[in-house]
Amino acid sequence: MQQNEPIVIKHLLEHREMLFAFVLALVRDHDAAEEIFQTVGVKVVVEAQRGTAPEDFAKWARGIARHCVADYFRERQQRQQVLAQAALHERLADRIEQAFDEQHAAQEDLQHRLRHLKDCVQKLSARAQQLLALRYEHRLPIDDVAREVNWTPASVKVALSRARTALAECMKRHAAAGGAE
Amino acid sequence: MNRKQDIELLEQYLAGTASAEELAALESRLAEDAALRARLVEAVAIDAQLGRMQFKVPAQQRRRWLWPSVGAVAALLLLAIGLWVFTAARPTAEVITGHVAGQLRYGEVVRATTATELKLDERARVTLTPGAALKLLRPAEGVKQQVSLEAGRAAFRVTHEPGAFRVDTAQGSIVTQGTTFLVRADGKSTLVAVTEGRIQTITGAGEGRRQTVSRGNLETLSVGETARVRTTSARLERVDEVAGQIYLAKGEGRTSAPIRIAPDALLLRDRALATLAELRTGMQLKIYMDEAGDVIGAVARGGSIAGTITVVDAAARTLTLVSGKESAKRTELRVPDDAVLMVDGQMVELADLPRDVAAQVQLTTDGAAVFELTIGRIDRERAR
Repeated sequence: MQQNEPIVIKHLLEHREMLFAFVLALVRDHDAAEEIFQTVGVKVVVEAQRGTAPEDFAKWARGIARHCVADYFRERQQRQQVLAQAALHERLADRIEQAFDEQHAAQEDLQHRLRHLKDCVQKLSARAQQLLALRYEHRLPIDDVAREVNWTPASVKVALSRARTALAECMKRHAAAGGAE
Repeated sequence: MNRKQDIELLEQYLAGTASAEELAALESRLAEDAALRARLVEAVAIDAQLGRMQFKVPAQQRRRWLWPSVGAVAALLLLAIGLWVFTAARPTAEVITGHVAGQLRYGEVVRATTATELKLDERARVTLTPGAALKLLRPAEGVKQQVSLEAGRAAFRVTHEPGAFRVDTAQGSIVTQGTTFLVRADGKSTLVAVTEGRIQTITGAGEGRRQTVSRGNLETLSVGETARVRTTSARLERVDEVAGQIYLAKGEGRTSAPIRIAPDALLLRDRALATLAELRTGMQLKIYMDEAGDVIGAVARGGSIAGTITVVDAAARTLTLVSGKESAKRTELRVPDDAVLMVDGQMVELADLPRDVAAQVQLTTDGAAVFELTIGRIDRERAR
């Protein structure tokens, strides 16, 4: 039964970035996503030890991830907040899962593009890099980022959105040029 | 809806600031627009990578933006530098009770001679037992607040906020975004008990070995090949509160020698912190002992029963378990909100528990409720 374990771990390593992104899409909190992702990893390995051999690893692992996200919210007693909009959150999670299912074929391409992210960040303006650092490295909410840079939250949101768009375009260019841009 | 509005919805969602109406609108747009779904995946994949990246932006640059850029006026610059020095050195912790009241600076150690409560910014409260020593550390990369527990026992109540809160000890670190937990450190070992939510322990240097500990559990942090903490499980035979000792059942009617409980031991009964007086004969104990053989931590649970689930009343939060073949015994159990119900390794709601299926139940210490119920794949197959 345990012969599945190395194969499943190999799949887990191959899919870890997109699986983590899926968890992040559901919780939208990086630290929480890290915590949940570890639990997902443990559950995946436990299932492998039990002999589970999924045909579509990514889809199967996303199913486990959705359960782990639900457990996470339940344990933090956010159930009542979530319950009020439970059906809506469930539908939204369905759409997000559908999005990741559809992008499965393009996943390798996206992962290839993401390898250029670091280079592309360095091409952004100092201010854009500063905003990214505050938001993603220091994990500040938008309002706190706005206070730090003395902007309005709306301006910060627009600037972050533009930075992400610029990064996506830069990554595409890099990938098309074989990273030689 | 145009593309710009779509992107705004997506940004609101990813920032965690979308209203219920915006969530519904996004769900509807995602259902009908494959390009938007693709954009969502790309955006969140970029977010995921950015969240793991170290940016090379000097901290001073971040500070500079706090002041208006009205030109290089020397006086303003001097004032700015003065303000920066002031804010950087500003004490961020306050001793509230039980000790010489006052504010603390980074690097300062509080040595509690009586029960002492500290407030760290507005986020965390720390209660130190007499003999405990806690040092306030500067925030580090990826860690919003951190302290070092040099010795003794400390209870932490940390409000859930973005950014990690970390407690360092000689054996590793405890990291959380916000929850309630206790730490006991004596230089040779660290024990952590979680009473709300969950924490992550990191043992050893660098990235270390990471482990998640959830509510109602104890965990040790130990480094090196020789475990400094020994554990054993047994039925509790007797408690001597006056002497601070317990006796464990050893089988065949025998009882262990008295085992001393350290005054600052971490004791959990079911999922809550307990005192020695709250431990009762018959409870199942898992004890954690130091090198001297003293108990530094213990977890008390009820016994276990196995049987077939015949009735589930989700409204009344009860279930009925039938055990034995010839003279079937029916046991009705309460199912508290925090009971863990596992089916094939997944947590489920009470209403979703399958009927006529074999289950293993660990009881709460009062024997009347479910602490944890497990239905494995084998059990389900047998039930068919």
